[in-house]
Amino acid sequence: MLQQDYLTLAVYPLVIIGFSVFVLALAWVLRAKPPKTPLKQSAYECGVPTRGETWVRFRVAYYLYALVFVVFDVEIIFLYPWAVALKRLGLFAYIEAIIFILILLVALGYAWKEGALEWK
Amino acid sequence: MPDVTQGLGAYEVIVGWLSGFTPHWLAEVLYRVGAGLLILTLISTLALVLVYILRKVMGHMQCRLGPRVTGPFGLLQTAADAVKLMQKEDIIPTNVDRFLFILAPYVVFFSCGMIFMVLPLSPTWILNDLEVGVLFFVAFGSLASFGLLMGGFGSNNKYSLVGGMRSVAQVVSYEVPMVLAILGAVMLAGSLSMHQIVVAQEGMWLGFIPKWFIFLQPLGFVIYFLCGLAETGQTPFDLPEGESELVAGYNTEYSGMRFALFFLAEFGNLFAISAMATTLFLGGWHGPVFSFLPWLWPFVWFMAKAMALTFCMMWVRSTWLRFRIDQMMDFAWKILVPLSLLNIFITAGEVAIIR
Amino acid sequence: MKTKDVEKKKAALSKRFGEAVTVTLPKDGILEAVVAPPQVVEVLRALKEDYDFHQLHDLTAVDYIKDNQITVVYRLMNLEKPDMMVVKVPLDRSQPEVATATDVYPAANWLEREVYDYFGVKFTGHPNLTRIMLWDGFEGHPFRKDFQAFDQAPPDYDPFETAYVDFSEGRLQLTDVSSNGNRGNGSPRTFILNFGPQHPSTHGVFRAAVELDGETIVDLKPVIGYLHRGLEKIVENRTWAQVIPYTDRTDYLATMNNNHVYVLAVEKLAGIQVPPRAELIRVLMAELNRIHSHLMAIGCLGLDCGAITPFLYVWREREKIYDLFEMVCGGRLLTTYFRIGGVARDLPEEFLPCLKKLLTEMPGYIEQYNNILSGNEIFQMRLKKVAHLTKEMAMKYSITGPMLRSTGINYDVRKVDPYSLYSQFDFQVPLGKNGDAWDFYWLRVLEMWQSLRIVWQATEYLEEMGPGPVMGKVPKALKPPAGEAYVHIESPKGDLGCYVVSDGGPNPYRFRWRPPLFINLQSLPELVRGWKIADFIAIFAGYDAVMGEIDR
Repeated sequence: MLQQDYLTLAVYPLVIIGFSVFVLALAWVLRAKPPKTPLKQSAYECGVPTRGETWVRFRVAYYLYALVFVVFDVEIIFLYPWAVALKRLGLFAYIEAIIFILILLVALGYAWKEGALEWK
Repeated sequence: MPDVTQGLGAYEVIVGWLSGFTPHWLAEVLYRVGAGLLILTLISTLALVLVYILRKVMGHMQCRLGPRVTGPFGLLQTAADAVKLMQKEDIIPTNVDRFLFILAPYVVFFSCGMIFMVLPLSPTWILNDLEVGVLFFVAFGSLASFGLLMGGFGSNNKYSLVGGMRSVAQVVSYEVPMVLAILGAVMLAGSLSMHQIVVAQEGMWLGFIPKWFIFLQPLGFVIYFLCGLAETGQTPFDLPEGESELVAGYNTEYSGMRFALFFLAEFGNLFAISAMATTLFLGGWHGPVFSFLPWLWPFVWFMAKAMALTFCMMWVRSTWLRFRIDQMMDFAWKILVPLSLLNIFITAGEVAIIR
Repeated sequence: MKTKDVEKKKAALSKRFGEAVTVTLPKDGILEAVVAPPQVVEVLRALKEDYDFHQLHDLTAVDYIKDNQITVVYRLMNLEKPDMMVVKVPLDRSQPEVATATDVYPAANWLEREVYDYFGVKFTGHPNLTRIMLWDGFEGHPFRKDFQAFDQAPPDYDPFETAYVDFSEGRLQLTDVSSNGNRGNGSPRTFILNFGPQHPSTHGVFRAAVELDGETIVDLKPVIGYLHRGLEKIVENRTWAQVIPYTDRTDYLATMNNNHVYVLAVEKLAGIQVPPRAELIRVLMAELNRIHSHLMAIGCLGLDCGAITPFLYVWREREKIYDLFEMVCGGRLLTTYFRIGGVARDLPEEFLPCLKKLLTEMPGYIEQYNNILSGNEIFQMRLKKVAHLTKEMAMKYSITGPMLRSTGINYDVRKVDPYSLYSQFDFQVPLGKNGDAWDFYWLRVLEMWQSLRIVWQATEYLEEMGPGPVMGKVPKALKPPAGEAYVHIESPKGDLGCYVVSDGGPNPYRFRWRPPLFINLQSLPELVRGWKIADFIAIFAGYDAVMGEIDR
């Protein structure tokens, strides 16, 4: 039984990719192919040609949110097995995990106070 | 682990028949391919149906009728749209990063397709009941944002770029409360397998209240629903494709079938989030089974519950408006995360101490 | 409105400026000062600071070709008293030049550009004297009487290269963008995004080149003129009565008000009496149109913030008002109902019952909008405390309309300078406190309630009054005596004015539309600086811009 599990896991992604490729190939067969003009191929900016570089630098706010997210994501990864096994482990595991979460809540509070969670 | 049609005994029949003229391993693979195609058909049909339902529902909520002309009651509208999109010219603007631009719709559709793999449509109809089904769902659900970022970044367009960056920030921020809300249900069920979570909601209290987790975890349900709206980019969190601000966000430069793939994935995700909420909180496929076609009723109940939640999402879409980006982030980090942690404290206390 | 303390002002101005200023009092009661070009800025500064004319109401020019003069007309107002005065500066037609008034009145910026565009008057010292409506390479100045039109079209070139976006006024210097996108003057992170003419929420064809630092707006340059049709020049070739449909097409959402201001101006000029029933019908129609326009404003504000449903709900009510308009004159959006001397035809019998039905249902509908939109916490979060319009900024830019009242300044032409029959109606003028986007929205809802009151009272008066003539005595080919007249009304968008100059002929000699939105829009960059893109959309929706009026 376990072997069949992984077989589906291996086959299904290929099926999805095959399906999407098939759909796009079907579209390629069916669609109109008018000639390419420079105006049509230009980027859309409400009817006016775009100016300046498009690939501008990212702003630091995005990075800060990603950073806080990474911290919490790691916390969540640790909480997954704890959640599954909690019923069997009882009170002790509960108290341990609460302490763990509280430490991270302090981290959230610090980030909040320091203004890392403000979108500037 | 139960496989797709095992309840009907089709698995042995089909694999047995195929092994007649192909090697056994190929028969297994072909069976899986068939099952996968069945799920993809489900996704496509669902997307078609959901688009129609969305237009009708939103139309009626806005004092107008929605599609009426193509087919009886406008039922063929989405099919007509699909055909239209298929025959549209595929414009790839100059100066795009071709690799990212072309790959983005595939990634988004791939993530949408993958999460359907673990949805328990019925006691025996689940494409692959992974032991870590919930984790799988969450992981592939966030892959979609990667695709949106690729689409936004790859189109040589500032609107798309801003849309893509916003979508990543949004998805990433709402991951945390979403998983914390899911963990509440996981704790109550004691397993990450979707099938087990539904099985744990069997039975009734006092004879008429079903043992669904929504009654034990109302806060978790609300948090999950809101985060689900944010993950899929629905109003009130539809900043990435904020139509009145950024034209179409990451969608701006896409046309034809590539756009159709994004669109399909959006509606697939919409249903998947509702389906997940049904599984976790509304008891999945539990419901009264009648003697006529007993194998179909769990599926019907599952679909009915998921459709009801999808209707709620459409309702929210017609009624509420968009957040501003900083308000949205504040909502995620300053309100939802503390609330979901509170939920975990309470639920974990209940599970650890009382059970 | 008549100027107050005429004799005092006349004496003081003559004493102070002597020969350079000639002060006269024409028959409409508004003091007129004819000033020699070199003293203009001094006189304006004196009028602003010493005589409290703190608002530049209008700035335009008239081409008196027979006297070989182009006269620039400055209309000044004091909103509190209220008080109005006109300063005229005759310039030599072959080389019209005068100093700019932007140091005294910042609102003169776009107005002077417009006069330069139309007449070729050079305002020395203006920060950016370029054409505003027509394209840069346009040859000739069309509003001059000797202008010969010929076929010319704008060449195909990069709009960022031209004065379409007035970069010389400060930021947005694109010339020093280096190859990796960094700007030369020390802010490496900003980029320029174009909310261009084709955009779902720019309320028509309007372009804003926005300099963004991530999501925050650092600077904004508006570009208008996409809908410019030269209405003010076209009507110089039409008879006085033929001008009325053209007035419809300026602010096409409040057509009755546009007609109203024009016919009032011509009636003032020609001394035509309007029968009371016609006046009453005019007030009723104008207020109905105010409700209609504010409904659209509310719906569009909701739509721009993301609420798609209320937009369709207000269309439902607007359809009912459209039906009423259609009953009366056959047109829905562009009505052309008013005539010089009255209205086109009397109200049909089914009008009043239908109107009463709508009036009884409207409060329920407005409550519905309040439930779905005004009461929505997300909507309030999006609009409250967004944008801070102060009284000083409003005065500086000559803002009028609901935006002015949102700062707390009580100026509504219907109360301050009542025209038509408004002095006989009982209504209030809602005022805001904060000057934020929420006030822009909420004042419109409150004004709708007040307009409903006025329409109720109008229906009662109409029933009391009984049938009567709806058209005064107007000669078939109207030739008002030579002279000029200025009338201003409160349109849903602001203080709408119409300045007509007649030379005794069958066509208007000069027709000037004082567009409240054009003058209000000058404040957009300052109001939006520092807010986010989403706020810009919400604030711009608060202006309730209709391009037909801005560009004419």
